[in-house]
Amino acid sequence: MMNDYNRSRTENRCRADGRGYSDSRSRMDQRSSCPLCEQNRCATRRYSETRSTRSDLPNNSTDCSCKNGCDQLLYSLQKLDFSIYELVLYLDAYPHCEEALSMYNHLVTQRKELIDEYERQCGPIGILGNKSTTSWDWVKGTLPWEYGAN
Amino acid sequence: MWAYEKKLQYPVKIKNPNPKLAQIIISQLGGPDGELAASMRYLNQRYSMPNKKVAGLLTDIGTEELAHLEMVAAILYQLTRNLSEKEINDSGFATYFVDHTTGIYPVAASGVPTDMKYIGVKGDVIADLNEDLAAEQKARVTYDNILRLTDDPDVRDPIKYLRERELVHYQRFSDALRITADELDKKNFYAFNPAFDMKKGKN
Repeated sequence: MMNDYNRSRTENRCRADGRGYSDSRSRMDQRSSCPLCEQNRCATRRYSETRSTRSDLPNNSTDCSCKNGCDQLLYSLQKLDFSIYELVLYLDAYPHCEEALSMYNHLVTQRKELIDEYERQCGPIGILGNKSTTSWDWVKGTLPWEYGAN
Repeated sequence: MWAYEKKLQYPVKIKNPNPKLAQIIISQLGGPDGELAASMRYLNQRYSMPNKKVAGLLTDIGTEELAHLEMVAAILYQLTRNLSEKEINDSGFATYFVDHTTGIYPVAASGVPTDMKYIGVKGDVIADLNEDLAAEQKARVTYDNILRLTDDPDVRDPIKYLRERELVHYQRFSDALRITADELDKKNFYAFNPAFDMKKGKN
């Protein structure tokens, strides 16, 4: 008990008062619409842990029928990267938070697989690990700021 | 160093061009509280931060602001597609168009080009972090003002996302300030500047 008290007084603590990292959970219950087709979807676009723990929410990858393979993969990647980024910013200030660390490790494993899948189907995402074999695919396809790429 | 990934942080899909709105939103590109100023501020402040956690946070938030810069540019790019001469004249966009056509150039809505005078890098941990807190709030206000000025849901969606990120950054900088204060002399936070005095005489 005393150890817990001392721990909370140093940098080795999570924001156990419910703010900080955990506050994004309260936004999960808000519904917002898919930017492409106005279908209502849960805001789990922001926090992909809910895929595994909340069976009452729609499945992230198939709940929006307007997307084809590459659009859907890109969107899944954007959601996943968002969650990872949130965790990174939190961990920068609280590097010993075990809950955030284990969530981070879990998500980056998912990310590796998703990137592989994305690059296999849709082309390279970056220049440092490009799998283009017969031609330089980096300069092909729509650019991220174009209407058709979103 | 920086790696670039060929995707926006959050999708931008705007069906209806609107050059008049583009002239307003461009302030989040090149204005005093825009994403370019934010990223330059944080990425330059991080060098003199003695606390590695704060330096890490500034690096990561600064990088994210570059991603936001790209999103704002995407919004502007899509708002200025397929314009006719009549639309350009009637919307008031002609003053930007004449110098930049529909290129993306970092100015404020007033037409003043972006300026490093908008940022502060004081080399003092407390001063710099307080500047960052203010910067995030000012950016949030600018997004609030943009939201007042448009009803287009395609534009409001990414703007609301960007606005919310500013609030999250504000919380993270508050954490950083508190962590910094924890490590200073509790009787007098200003007894010394940890960014400078602790390095004197050391290599």
